[in-house]
Amino acid sequence: MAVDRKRIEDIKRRSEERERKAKRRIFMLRRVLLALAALAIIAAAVFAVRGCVGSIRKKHAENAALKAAESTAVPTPAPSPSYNEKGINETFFSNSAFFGNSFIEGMKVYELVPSDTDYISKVGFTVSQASTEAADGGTVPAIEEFSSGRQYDKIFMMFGENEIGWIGDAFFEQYEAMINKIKEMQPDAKIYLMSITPISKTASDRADDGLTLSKIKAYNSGIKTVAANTNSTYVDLFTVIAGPDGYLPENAATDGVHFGEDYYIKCLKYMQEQI
Amino acid sequence: MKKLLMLTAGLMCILALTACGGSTAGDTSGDTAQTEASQTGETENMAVKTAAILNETAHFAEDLTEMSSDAVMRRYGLDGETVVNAAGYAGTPAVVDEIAVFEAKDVDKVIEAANARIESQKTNYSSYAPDQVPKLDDAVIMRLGNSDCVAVCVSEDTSETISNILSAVADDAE
Repeated sequence: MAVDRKRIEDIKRRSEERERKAKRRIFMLRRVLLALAALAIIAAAVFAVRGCVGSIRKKHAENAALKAAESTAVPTPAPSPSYNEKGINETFFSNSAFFGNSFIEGMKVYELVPSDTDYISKVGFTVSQASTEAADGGTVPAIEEFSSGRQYDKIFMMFGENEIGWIGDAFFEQYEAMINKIKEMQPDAKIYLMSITPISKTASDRADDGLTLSKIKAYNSGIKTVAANTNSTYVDLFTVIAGPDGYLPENAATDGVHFGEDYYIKCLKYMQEQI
Repeated sequence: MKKLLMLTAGLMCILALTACGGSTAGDTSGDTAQTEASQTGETENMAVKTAAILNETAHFAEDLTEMSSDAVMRRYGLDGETVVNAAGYAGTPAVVDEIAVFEAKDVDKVIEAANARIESQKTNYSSYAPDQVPKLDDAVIMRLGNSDCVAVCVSEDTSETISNILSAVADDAE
């Protein structure tokens, strides 16, 4: 009997010990979890505060910069000229239109002038076609593009080469009439009449459609008069392009007439510096 | 009390992830931009590569000048609504020779624009330089295989020669 009681007490004691140990384990586990939770709260708080403080500092800096810019009493100076990688003064040619024949069409490929430039042109264009036919990519007669709403600062025109075989003064009279119409639609635009550029000796000797160097020189003289009559500026590109013999160099154009990028750059640089 | 503490810890963790810095959202958009950029890069290469192959392989009346994507699209009256990007080469107005390759969003519209340009050039050059018109009659406008690339080529070569070049490009791409 005494043995049984002792055994029972042993079992009871062991059971109580196991229970105590189990309770201690649970107790410790809970403490560890609480500690982890506290660490998580602290870490989360730190990241949240750092993110918010950084954002607030950035906003304060932006506001300060904005206030500094607004509070300046110094008037904004006029923009200084901006040149592209080809040396073309984009400020000079900004808000411009180029209007005319294949000379203008050829310019498009090289993108030498600002991207907001309008090209109103077509190969073979004449002053009479410009009043009745659309330019390349256009839907209305080319001249009507000047009443589209956009007001240009400068309009550069190139006509005459395709009219070289016209009789008498028909070209100059129609050119003058067209310019006067455009001036009504674009009262504030400066108008520049570009001379016909020289052709090679081979092309001049070929005399396609009557196109010779002497005829070009005669027409340029007439275009100069049209410029004077319409209060426009004559741009002497002939002299800029011609070689020492007065012709376009033979290697400048495969057909002796339509030259490439280098010559366009010469023309544009002359215009931005001399007119 | 302990449950409340655990819940609070969880909420704080969530708040930390959406803190003012917003770096997680920035990272996600950066990944998206990078994926789009790599996809655009692949399609740009096809248009640029095809145009370059034509320029090097086909025969033209004069050396052609490489044009920007914008210049090519303007030439054909196309924009970002119909074209992802474009590549091309062109000569002076003395010749009608040119190359244009488009990564199209709308293949039919691009082909329509290409046909319109060829017809317009025929009208212009029929009186300006009639000797150029036969090249326009033999112009090639071709979709490259199953891709969204449309190539246009006006050259001194026959349409068969140009088509063979473009077919080879399409086969390589696939």
